[in-house]
Amino acid sequence: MSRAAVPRMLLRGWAIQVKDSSSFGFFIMSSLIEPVIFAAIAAYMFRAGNRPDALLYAAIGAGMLGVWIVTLIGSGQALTFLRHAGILELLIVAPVPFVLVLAPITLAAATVGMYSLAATLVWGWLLFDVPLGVEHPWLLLASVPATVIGLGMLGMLMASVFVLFRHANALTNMLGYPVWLASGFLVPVSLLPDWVRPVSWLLPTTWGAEAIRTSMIGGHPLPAIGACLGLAIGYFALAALTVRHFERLARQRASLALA
Amino acid sequence: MNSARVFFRGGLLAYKALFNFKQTAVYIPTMLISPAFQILFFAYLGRYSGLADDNFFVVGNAIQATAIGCIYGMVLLLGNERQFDTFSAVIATSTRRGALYFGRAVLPIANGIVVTTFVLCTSVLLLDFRMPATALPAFGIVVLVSAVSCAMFGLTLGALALRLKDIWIISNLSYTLMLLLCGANVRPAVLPGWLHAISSCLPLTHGIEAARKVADGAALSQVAGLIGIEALIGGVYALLGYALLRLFEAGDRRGATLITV
Amino acid sequence: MSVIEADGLRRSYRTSTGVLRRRTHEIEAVRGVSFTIDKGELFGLLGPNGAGKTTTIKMLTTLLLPTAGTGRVLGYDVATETARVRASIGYVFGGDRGLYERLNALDNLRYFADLYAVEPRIQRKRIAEVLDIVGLSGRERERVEGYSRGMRQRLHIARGLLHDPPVIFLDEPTIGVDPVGSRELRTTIAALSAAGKTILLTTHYMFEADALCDRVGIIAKGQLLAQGSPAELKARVADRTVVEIEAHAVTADAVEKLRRIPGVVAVTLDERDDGQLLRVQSASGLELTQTILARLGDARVGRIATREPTLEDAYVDVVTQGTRS
Repeated sequence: MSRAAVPRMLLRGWAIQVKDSSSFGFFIMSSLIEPVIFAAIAAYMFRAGNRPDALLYAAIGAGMLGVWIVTLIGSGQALTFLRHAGILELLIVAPVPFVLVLAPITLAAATVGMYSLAATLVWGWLLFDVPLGVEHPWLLLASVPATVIGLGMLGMLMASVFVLFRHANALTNMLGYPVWLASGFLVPVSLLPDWVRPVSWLLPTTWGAEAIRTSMIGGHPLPAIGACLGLAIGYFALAALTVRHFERLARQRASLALA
Repeated sequence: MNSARVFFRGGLLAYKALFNFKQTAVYIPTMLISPAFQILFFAYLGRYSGLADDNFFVVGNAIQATAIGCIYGMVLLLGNERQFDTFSAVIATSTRRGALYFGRAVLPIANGIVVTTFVLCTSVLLLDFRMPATALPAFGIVVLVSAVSCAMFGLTLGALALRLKDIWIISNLSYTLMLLLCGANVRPAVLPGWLHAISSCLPLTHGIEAARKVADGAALSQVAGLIGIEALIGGVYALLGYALLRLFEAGDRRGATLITV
Repeated sequence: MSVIEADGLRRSYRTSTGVLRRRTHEIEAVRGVSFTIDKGELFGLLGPNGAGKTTTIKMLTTLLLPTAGTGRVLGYDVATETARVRASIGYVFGGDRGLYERLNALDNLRYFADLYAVEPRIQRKRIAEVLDIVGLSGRERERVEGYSRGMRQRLHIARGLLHDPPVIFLDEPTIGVDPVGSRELRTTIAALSAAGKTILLTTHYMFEADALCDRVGIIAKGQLLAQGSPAELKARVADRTVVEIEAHAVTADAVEKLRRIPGVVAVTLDERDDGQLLRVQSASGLELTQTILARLGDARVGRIATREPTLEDAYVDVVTQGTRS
C-alpha cells in the first residue's frame, strides 16, 4: 500500500466506524443517557453538600465517565464484536497491517465517547444553569482530539489483550468505577490512597480530563495535552506488539472465526 | 407439589442455562468487584462533596446492589428466553403460570442478597463503615424484603423486555436511573417534585431509608412502616409483571410475536 | 505455472473437554491435501460438512497456519508471505455475516476499497463496476440490515472483487440462498470465470459444481479422495444405474439389507422435510427394483425412478469408497 494512501484509509476507517457506532442504540445510551444520569447524581450531591460552585466540574467529570465507558466497551470488545459479526476474518485478510485497521476502530470508539461530554455539558447548561465558559478555546480544540487519541491508543491495547480472554465482557464490566476513581473525574486523586497516584499518571483519562477541565475552567492545559499524547505513543507501541501477537496466535489457534 | 418443583427447579435451570452461573470468571468481576467499587466511588464522592459520611453511601449502595442480581437477573432471564426462543417452548407447557414465572425470581433474589452481604464486608475493610451487631437481624429483614421487591420490579421490566428490542438498554438504563432515584446517593427529598414522585413508586427507595435507620440503631418496629411500603410496592410490581406476562402470552398465541425478534 | 498450489497441507485443532479433568485432544481437520489450480481454472472442492473444505480455504487465504505442508498462491507462501498473498486474492464466504449491518452497501464497499488500497481516483468507478457485476446497482444506499440473504451474498462478492484480484476464493457462496438467488449467483461466478479469474469454490451442492467447475476435488475426513473434471468423475460411475425411491420410515436396518444385495455398489438415505430419499447405485443392466422393494419391510414407498448416474452419484461413490477403507 502506498504511503499516501494510509492517512486516507485511517480517516475513512474512522469516519465509517463512527457512523456505524452512532447508529447502535446501546452505544448511544452508554454515551448520551447514562452520563447525564451520573451528572445529575453528582450535581445533586455537590449542591446538597458544600460544593455548589463545582457544577461545571461535575458536568465535565460525568461526561468523562461516559467517554471512558464507551471507549472501554467499544475497544475492549471491538475484536469480539467483529468476530461475532464475521468481519474480523475479512479485515485480517486485507493486505494492510492489522494495527492500521484496528487504530481507526478504537479511535472511533473514543470519538463516540466524546458525545458524552457534549451531552453532560448541554444538560448542565439547560437544567442546572451551569455557565459554559471556556477559558482557552484553542487549547480546548486541542485537548479534545488529544484525549481521543490517548484513549484510542489505550483502547487498541485493550482490544488486542482482552480478545485473548474468553470473558472480556466481564473484564469491561469491572473496569468502569476503578478507572473513574483513578482518573480523578469527580473526586481529586489526592483524596484517594497514595498508591493510586502513579496509576493515575498512566491513564490517558487522567490527562484528558485535566486538559479539558483546565481549558474550560482555567489553568495550564498544555502539560496535560502533552502527557496525553505521550501516553498515546507509548500505548501505540505496546499495542503494535500485542496486535501482532494476537494475529499470530489467532492463525495458530484458529480463533478468528466464531467456532 | 408439582408447582413447587416447577418453582424451584425451573428457576434454577433457567438461570443455569442462560447465565452460566458457574463461571466464576464472569461472576466475580460483574457481581462482586464492580458493586464493591461502586460503593467506593460514591463514598469518596460523598467525602469530596461533603454531603454525608461513609455509612450513608455504604448502606444506600449496598441495598441498591441487590438490583444487580434482581434487575439484570430477571431482565436477562426473560429477555434471553425470547432471544433463544425458549419462551414459546416454555409457555406451550401446561404448568401453573405463577410457579413458572415467580420461580424465575428465586435465584436472582438469593444472588442479590449475596452481593449485598459481600459489599458490606468489603466496606468494613476499605471504608469507615460500622454497624452495631445487634442491628444485623433487622438489617437482614430489610435486605430480604428489598431484594424481593426489586426482583418483582425486575419481573415487570423482564416482561417488557419480551416485547422490546434491546434488553441491555432496559436493564442498564433501569439500573442507572435507580442509582439516581432510589436514594442510594441523593436523598429523594432533594430531587425535583416529579422525580421525587417517581422515586417513591420504585422499589428500594423505602428499603434504603429503612436500612439507614436500622444501621443507625433503630428497632425493627420503628421501620415497620417503611418495610411495609417496600413490600407493598413489590406486591404491586409482582401483579403488574404477572399480568403483563399473561397478556403477552395470550398475544403470543394470537399473533406469534414473541418468536419474531 | 499453477496459480494455487496445495502441497501436503495438514491442519489439526486442539480442543479440550471436561471441567475438572480437562482433557485435550487433537482433531486432524485436514490430513495431507494436495492439488494445483491453473490460471483461469474454476476448481471446486466438494465434500460433506466437516470434511475440511473451509479449513483448506482458510489456510490458503492466510487465515490459518498449516500445521504441515505448504500452500502457495501465485508462487507466494501462504504461511510467510502473507502481505503479497492477501493483496492478490479475494475471499468471499457464504452466510449472512461479515458485513457492517448498520451501514449501507456503499460504505461497506468504500471501507474495504481503502483497505485494499484501491486508488482513490478510480474507487468511485470501481465500486460502480462491482455493484453492476453482482446486480446491486441502485440498491447501494440502503442499509445492509434490510438486505435479503441473496443480496448480502452478492454484496460479499462485490467486496471480494473490489481490488480486481486475479485469484478468488469462494467458500460455500450459495449456502442458505433461495433457488432464484442461487441461480443468479452462479451466473455471476460463471462470468468471473469467463473473465479469466482463477477460482477456488467450495460447495456441497453437486449440481452447482457440475454446472460451474472445470475440475473438482472430492474431500472427506480431511483427505482429497479424487479429483478430475466432472465428466471424468462421472465416468467412474458410467456403468451404473441409480434407483431413486421416495419413501417414509425406511430403517437403518433395511439400508444394511439393501447394501447386501449382489450388484449394489452404494446406498444412501437422505432425510428430507417431506420424507426420505433412498438412492441405490448398482451395476447397470440389473433389474433390482423388485428386490429392493421386497427388502424395505414396512416402509411406505412413493415415487420410484431409475436414472443415469450424475456427479452426485460419483461423489457418493468416492466418499463411500474413501471412508470405508
